[in-house]
Order: sequence, then C-alpha cells, then structure tokens
Amino acid sequence: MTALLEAGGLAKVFPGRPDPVEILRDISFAVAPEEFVSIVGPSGCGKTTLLMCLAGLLPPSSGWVRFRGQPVTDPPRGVSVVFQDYSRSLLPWKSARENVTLGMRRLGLGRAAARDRAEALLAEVGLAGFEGHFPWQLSGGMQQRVAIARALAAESALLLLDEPLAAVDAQTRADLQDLLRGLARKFRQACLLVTHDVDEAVYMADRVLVLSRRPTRILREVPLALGAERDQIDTRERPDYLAARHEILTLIRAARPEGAGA
Amino acid sequence: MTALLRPVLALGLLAALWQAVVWAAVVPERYFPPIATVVQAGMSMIARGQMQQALFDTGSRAILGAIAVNLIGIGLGLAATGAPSLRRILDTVAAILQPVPPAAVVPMAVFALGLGWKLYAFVVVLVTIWPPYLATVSALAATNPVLLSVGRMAGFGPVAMLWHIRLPAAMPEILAGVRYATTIALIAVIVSEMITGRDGIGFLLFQKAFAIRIPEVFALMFAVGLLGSAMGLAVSAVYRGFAGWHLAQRGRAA
Amino acid sequence: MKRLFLHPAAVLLAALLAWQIVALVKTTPLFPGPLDVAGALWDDGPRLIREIGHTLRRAVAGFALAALTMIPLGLAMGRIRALGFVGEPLVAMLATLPPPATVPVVMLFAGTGDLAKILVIAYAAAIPLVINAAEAARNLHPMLGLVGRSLGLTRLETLRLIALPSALPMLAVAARMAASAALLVSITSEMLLSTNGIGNYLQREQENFRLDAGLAGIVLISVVGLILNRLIAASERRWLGWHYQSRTAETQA
Ligand SMILES: Nc1ncnc2c1ncn2[C@@H]1O[C@H](COP(=O)(O)OP(=O)(O)O)[C@@H](O)[C@H]1O
Ligand SMILES: [Mg+2]
Repeated sequence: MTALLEAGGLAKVFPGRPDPVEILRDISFAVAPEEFVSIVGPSGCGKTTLLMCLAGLLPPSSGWVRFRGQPVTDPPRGVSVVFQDYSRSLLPWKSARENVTLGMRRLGLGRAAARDRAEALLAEVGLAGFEGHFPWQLSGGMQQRVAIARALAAESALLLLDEPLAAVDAQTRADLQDLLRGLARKFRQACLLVTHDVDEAVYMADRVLVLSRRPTRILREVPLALGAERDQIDTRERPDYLAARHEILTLIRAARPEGAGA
Repeated sequence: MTALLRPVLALGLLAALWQAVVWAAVVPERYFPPIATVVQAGMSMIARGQMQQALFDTGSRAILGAIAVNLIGIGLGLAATGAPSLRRILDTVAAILQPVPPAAVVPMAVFALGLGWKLYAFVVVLVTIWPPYLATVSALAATNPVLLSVGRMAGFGPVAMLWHIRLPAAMPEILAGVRYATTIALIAVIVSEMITGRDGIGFLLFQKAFAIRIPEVFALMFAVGLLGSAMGLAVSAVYRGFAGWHLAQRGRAA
Repeated sequence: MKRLFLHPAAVLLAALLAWQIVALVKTTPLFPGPLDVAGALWDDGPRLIREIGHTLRRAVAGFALAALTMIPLGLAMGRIRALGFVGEPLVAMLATLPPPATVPVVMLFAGTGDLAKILVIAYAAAIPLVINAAEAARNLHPMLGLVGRSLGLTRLETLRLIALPSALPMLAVAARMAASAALLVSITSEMLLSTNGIGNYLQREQENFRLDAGLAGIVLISVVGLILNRLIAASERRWLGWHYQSRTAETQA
C-alpha cells in the first residue's frame, strides 16, 4: 500500500526573541489513503505548527513532506484544512453558502453547480435553511460545521483537522464526531485529526500518534482495530478501546514535567 | 422608524434650546436672533441666488476633491502595499505633511496657482490624501493570518488574495479613513475660501460677520451643516455597500 | 546598494537637492531653496519659538477645556439611556459643522483674542472626544457592569472605577485625534483672527512675499506635529501597554 501523505525528519525552529524556539524535532510518519489518524499531545507542543507544515502553509526548518509522492512546498491540490480558529477562518462578508463555495474553487465547477453542491454539503452537516446566513449570525457549533463543509467541498483525498471540536458542547461534539467519520468514509477521505481529548482521538481513529512535550517527537504510535462502524456507547465500552485509552493516558502522564524521570 | 425619529427629535431640541435662549434674553436679540429671523435671512439669500451660488462653489470643490483624493489615497495605499520601498517613502512624506494645516499653505498656493480650481485641488490633495492612504496601508498589512491561510488553501495567487480576502477584510478600516478625509476636505475648502476671500461659503461667512448680519451668518452655518451631513450620508451609503457586513456584525456583537 | 538608494532619507535628500538646484537656477526670492528656508529658520528663530509658544498654549488650553467637559459628558451619554437618546443625534448634527465655520460667529461674541481662539479649538477637540467617550461607555462589556454591582459600587463609583479605565483605549484614540485637531485649528484660527502665533506669522510673512520665512514656519509646524505625535504614542505605550499586549496575545492565539 502506498502512502498518501509522508513526513520524514520534520523539524521546526522559530526565530524567538532571546533564543530560537525549537518546536518540532524529528517527526516521521505516513498516512495511507482513507486512513483516519489522530494526533494527541499537550497543548502548546506544536500540533498546529505540524499541521501547517503538512498543509504546505509553513516551511519546515528541515525534513520533508510528500503528498501523493510529490514534495509539498505550497498547499497541494487534494488537501483541505479545518483551522483551529474556525470563527476567524470564515469570511465574515460572505454567507455560509459562499464560504463553502470558496472550498470548491480548485474544482472548476460552474456557478450553478457550485451553488448546488454547497447547499447539498450544508444540508449534509445539518445546516439546511442557513445557507444565506452570515458566519456571525450562527452559533459556534454552526460556524464549525460551515468550516467543515468548506473543507469537504474540495473533494480532497486528505483532510487536516485542527481541534475542530474543541469549542462545542458535549452533545454537539458527539454528533459532529459521528458526522465527521461518516462523511470521511462516504467521500473516501483520509483524515488527520488533531485533538487534546484522548477519548476523541481513540474513538475516531484507526491509529493514534502520541506527541511528546517540546521539542516535540512522536512518543508512540498506537494502532487500533475498533472496526469501521463506531457507536458512542458500545465502542467506548470495548476492552480494546479502554486498553488504548489507558495506554495513551499513562504515556501522557509520564511525560508531564512533574512525573518526567528522563 | 427611530432612525428617522432621532434626528427630527434632535433638530426639535436644538430649535427649542435656541428659542429658549432667545426668550430668556440672556444675549441681546441683535446677536442671537430668533429662529424665524434666521429662516427669513436664509430665504432672502436664496431669493438673491447668493446661497445657492455659495453652496455650489463650496460643495463642488469639496465633493469633487473628496472623491478624487480618496481614490488617489487608496490607489497609493495599494501601490505602497505592493512596493515596500514606495511605502517607506510615502510614510515619511505623510508623517511630515500631516501636521501642516491646510490654511498654512494657502497664501503661498494662491501666489503660485491663482484663485481658481488649481488652488483648491492642491490644498485638498496635500492635506486630505493621508487618511485613506494610511488606512489602506495599515489595513492591508493587518489581514488576519488565518484568512490568508484559507486563501492559500483555496489556491489564490497574490491578485486573487488581494481581491477576495485582503481588500474586503480591509474595507471597514479603509472606509473609516475615507470618512475622515471627507470631513477634512470640506474643512480645507472652507478655510481656503476664508483666507482667499473671493467666493464660496467660507468667504460669505466672514463677509456677513464683518457686516454684522448675524441672522445670515447663522443661516450660512446651518447650510454648511447640511452640506456636511449630505457628504457624511454619501460616505455612509458607500460604507453600507462595501462593508455593510461589518456594521451588521458589530450591531450583533454590541 | 538598491536598499540605500531607496531609503526614505536618501530620497528626501535627493528631493531637497533637486529643489536647491532649481532654486539656484531661478535666483528669485519668490522661489526660495532649502538653504534660504534654513536661513530664515535661523534668522527668525527666537521669534518663531515665541509665536509657536502662543499657538501651543492656546491649543493646550482648548484641548484641556474640551477634555474636562466632554469626556464626562460623553461617558454619561453612553451610560444614561435618556441622555444618550437625545444627546447623540444632537452631537452628530453638530459634528457636521466644520470648526472653521464657527469662527465668524465666535468672533462676534468673543472678539479676536485668546478666548475666541480657545473656544474654537475646544469645539474642534470636543467632537471626537464626546463621540468616542459615548461609544466606549456604551460598548462596555456587560460583565464589567455586573462586576461593579456585585462589588456593591454606586453608580458614580462604577463610572470612575470601571467605565473610565475600560474606556481608556478608545479615549486614547479620541485624544490623539483631538490633539491633532487642536493644533491644526489653533494655527488656522490665528490665520483668520490675526493677533499673534505661528499662523499669524505665516500669514504676514507670506503676504509680504517672504516665502522662505513662510516655508520655515511650515517646517516648524511639521516638526512640532511630529514631536507631539511621538509624545502621544510614547505615553500610550506607557499607560496603555496592557491593552496592546492583550490584543497582540489575542491575535497570536
Ligand atoms: N510564528 C511563530 N513564531 C514563534 N513561535 C510560534 C509561532 N507560532 C507558534 N509558535 C509557538 O509554538 C508553540 C506551539 O504552537 P502550536 O503549534 O499552536 O501548539 P498547539 O497547536 O499544540 O497548541 C507555541 O508555544 C507557540 O507560542
Ligand atoms: Mg493548536
């Protein structure tokens, strides 16, 4: 099986004020087509930075990223991002429909076709009837769904999701988790989901990457075999779900500054 | 409904206050005439064609000047955004020229350019161009980086990015600069007319004041206020067209 | 090399040089060059300083008068519903009247002395101050009012301890606008109601065809304006640093 996305020896150092700040140190991994990979790590460890490097929005200090075998320097066709700061990632002067259409620019659809597809996608994320609303007329959870619909609109083979569900309430969050997984499967998309919620990481993924504190490396890859169909109640009671959760939480606790022996 | 009610209420209040001062007779009536007298003075100036002429002179100078200067200012701002060395030069020039009041250059400009339209064009451009220029440059430089990333993911090149993301995002700030420039364009024209003393409302105001024709002075001030409001309303209409979303967004947030 | 060539100082120097060359070619006092202007600055130095002193004194007085009356009025208009309802459209209506248009009337009532000029300056400075103070007080975060009430503050204490500090960033912007308006109008009023001050100097010297002196006055105004701007920016950083820091933190998050 050939990888869709590959990163090798990825490092990122920001030119800090007194001294340079080393954020990422030697990150290597791959994502297969249609695979769902979660990334967990302490806040501030550089998850957003990593995602920006993968998307071609930020040049790494060293190492490489390849998408479909091609080196990534600019945002490649076939990759979409849902940004962490979703409320700021929507254009406030455009309606929900127009914001979604923005995601389809690279598909070269006609105006009418783009409009129809945008409305279908908004309906898909449960926003039928809100097509003409502006972002600031929508609640946080609804804005997030517009951002997700925009990312889906590009028909990308790979979705990069930066803590897309951090700011919504528990019930909406569970609904959006299932929605995201369902749509990714429906459109046969690979997903890379950044989250700091270990339960979410395990519930959603085929594989979890656990990151260390800064300078950040991959502490461990935890493979999962929870099956294609997930259920908010049953899946979360499976012994292998609980074992993976236990393993990751232990790992993160050990990496905390107080507990860190190394 | 209240949008219309409040200006009417304000006007009524102003008239009531005015009339109260007149009736209380704290100021001699000669210096503070009743509203009816002011209206009469205004009507007679209209009958003589004096009022329309002055309004036309001042209004055409200020309005044409404001339009030209705002377009040039925004254009310079766009050019300076594309060329950082141009921006450094223009920023320096702006810093030097901004504190200079329009009045200060009028005598010299009269000497060099005469009393015609060139004088007003020069004075208005010199002092009014900087607010739209500075607003454009600073707003275009301050685009929210997340929006820029969104644009790059959509495959925008520099021109599409400017057109679809940076310019719309900058519009509220740019139009705030435009609003400010429009008010100073009117001020610059009136001051120039006061100093050159040939025509326009600025000239007429002083002429009537020196002749102690106080009701006519007040009528002229009212006319200037109307001209100022008309120009302000025009800017508001442009604002609603280009940045209406920002108003609506703020209205909700407040 | 190209860097040095396009440096603003280099461009400015080149412009001055070109101007000087044209002036040398023209050889008429009606087209003074930079050296003539510098000469006028030197010759008229003491007088210029005295005149700009008058200008600044009145600008400060007018600004202070406006700040002391209009900031409290604006805050009250923003906090007290009824006052804002009638006050704001009234202010908006007055704001359409350009400050110089009030000069003739003020002259009739207050003559051409200090008082008349200070009144016009105060009027010009008042408009941004009162509008922004009202806006700032109105947009006060509702939580802050609740905090005040939970601490058992009176209305006046809430205004002084909560409304005023949280309105400060916006008031600073207004003060910057009001200060530059005060300086501009101070000079303008001297040109219209001549007695003394830098505006009067400009008017006289230019009418006497001493253009080098006129330009010297303009240079002085520009320098004073620049210094004033720097001072305001520095005091904003000093007193309102917390606001800008929290704002940059917000954009980085
Ligand atoms: N452009 C930048 N310059 C300097 N430091 C940065 C920059 N961007 C992010 N950082 C720093 O890198 C660290 C990681 O940021 P981020 O990737 O957003 O973390 P996470 O998403 O894991 O919370 C933070 O400490 C942040 O302050
Ligand atoms: Mg992050």
